[in-house]
Amino acid sequence: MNSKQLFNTRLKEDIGLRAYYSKYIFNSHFLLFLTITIGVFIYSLVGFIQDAEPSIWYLLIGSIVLSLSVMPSYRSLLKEADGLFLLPYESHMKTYFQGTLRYSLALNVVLMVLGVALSALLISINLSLSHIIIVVLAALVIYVFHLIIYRVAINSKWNHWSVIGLLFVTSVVTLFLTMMFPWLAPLIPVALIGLYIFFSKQVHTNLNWFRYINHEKDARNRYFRVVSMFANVAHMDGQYKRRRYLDKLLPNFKKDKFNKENMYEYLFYRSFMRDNDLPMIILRLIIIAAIIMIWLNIWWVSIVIGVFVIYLIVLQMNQIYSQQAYLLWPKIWPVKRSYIQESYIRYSNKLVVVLSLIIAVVFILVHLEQFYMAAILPIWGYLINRVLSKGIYKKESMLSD
Amino acid sequence: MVLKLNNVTGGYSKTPIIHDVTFEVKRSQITGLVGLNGAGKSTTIKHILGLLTPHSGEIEVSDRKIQEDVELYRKNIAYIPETPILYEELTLKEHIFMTAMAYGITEGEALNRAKPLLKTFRLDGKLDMFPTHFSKGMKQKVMLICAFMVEPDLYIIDEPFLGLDPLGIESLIQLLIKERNAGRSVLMSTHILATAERYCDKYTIIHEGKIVGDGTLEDLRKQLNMPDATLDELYIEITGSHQYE
Repeated sequence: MNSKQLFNTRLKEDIGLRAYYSKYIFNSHFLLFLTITIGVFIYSLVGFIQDAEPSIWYLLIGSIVLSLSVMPSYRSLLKEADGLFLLPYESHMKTYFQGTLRYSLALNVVLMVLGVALSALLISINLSLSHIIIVVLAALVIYVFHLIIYRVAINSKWNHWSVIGLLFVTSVVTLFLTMMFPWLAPLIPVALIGLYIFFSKQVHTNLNWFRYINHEKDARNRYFRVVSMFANVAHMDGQYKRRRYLDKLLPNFKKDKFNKENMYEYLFYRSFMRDNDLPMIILRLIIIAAIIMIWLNIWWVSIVIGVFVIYLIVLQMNQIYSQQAYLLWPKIWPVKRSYIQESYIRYSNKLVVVLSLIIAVVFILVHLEQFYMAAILPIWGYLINRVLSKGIYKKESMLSD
Repeated sequence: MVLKLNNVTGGYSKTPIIHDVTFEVKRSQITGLVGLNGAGKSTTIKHILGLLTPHSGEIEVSDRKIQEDVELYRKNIAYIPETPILYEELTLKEHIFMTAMAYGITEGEALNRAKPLLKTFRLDGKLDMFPTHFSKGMKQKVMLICAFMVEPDLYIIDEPFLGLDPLGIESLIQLLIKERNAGRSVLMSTHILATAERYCDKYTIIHEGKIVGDGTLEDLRKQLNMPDATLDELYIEITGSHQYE
């Protein structure tokens, strides 16, 4: 197998993986939610732009949004074993890495286009069409150069966040200056070539396989974390984190509750609180829901958003059940398997109702006149938890011996 | 009899890996289940634990079959896997509590039983840490503590010495002897025969899925007419491995 064939195999594998998870992410519910939210968002943004007066702040926000959308995300598609098996083949890997560069460019195009479109709308308050085109072209040049620079920087002593930070700051400054003084645009490629030369001079003589492989592992994990908001993802690294400040919220079962009937509830609370992402994802979802409710200020849209966010939260929580139910110990311990389900029902009902109530309170604060509609949210939370939980119990019993 | 296997044939699929396996483990007895990699040791253990269902034959633990009452059957067994399997999200103390809850041991009793074990394996002071951050040997010690805390009729230990340092191995051997003296039994799979020879009361030798030898060291020596042979030499003779040398 040569370098090109290796890349093609890895490419096929990664596309297959993305296609597999996309089925779960872009299901009919999510598409409906996306259509409603994006539609309402664009409608309100266009209304806002029509009424807004030109201000330098829009240019600053536009350059930040634009810079975020052209941030590099490189996927080398390398695997741990490559550091061992491909080591003697290093000098023949040029075609492979060129392929990964092209793939990484293509992978981020959708997000980049969305970011560019959003910032173009925003800066149109201040700038003419020809001026916007210059800014967009500058952003595209930055997008390509950033990825090339970033790939080189992985093989240097610079750490990930320093490189990202540097690229972000230079990008915000150059784009903002281009918005102010469009004649500066031709200088952008010159500055980027300078940056490329700067990093090129600091790379290790040989490929630092360890850094590339770790970088790929991190990038893969980040992707899985996004997917895990919608579907179960197996074998994610570093899934749990100790948060001592949350330990006080964890129930400690004493005497009559210290038994096999409650042991899985004891476990589920810990799995939830110590999950690397889950509590933060839920917090972010609630904050995003609150921002959209306040921004759009349409009560029925707020209900749709609340319902969707609760649906996502329940989906997230179901992962905890699946993770525990298939482990070895529940099959070894002298404990009825039905206790796992019963414990999950108690734990998830309590948690979903509490989280739904938080979203309901946000709804009431935003839409005081329609406060009674907030009752839909905890009821929906309880019902959707029942329905989705039954699905996973059924799947589990089908897979059990 | 603590463990009884009677003509057990089974495996992961329809193709059997173990054939007509028959042996017993008596009370207060340490039995070594000895065999090469792929001989069928782990498959036999999985059948005893109830993780696999035999195609034919019967298994009894403390005179009870798994079909009669799965909870009571499993309550008499503590299992230590070859590779430590831990909950990433639980501290060492919480692992002890989970095991205690599973086996109906109270919180106070669990801590009382765990305390000397923690000291033996030099893990006292690490109760609030995540064992997943421990070294491989320390993780194995967590498994040992959780199992020995249960005090069951039968310990099933898969390759117990893997990953343990010399002090850990010595502590484990002493613990096994102590448990045997307390009337409990041990079935441990191993291919480190020189260590097994030091403290096992009986050996069940499995080769290519079949039991090819079963008895004490003396029994095996007599059967093969090799009066001064070590377990290694007996094993090579029984399995015919010398043919491959």
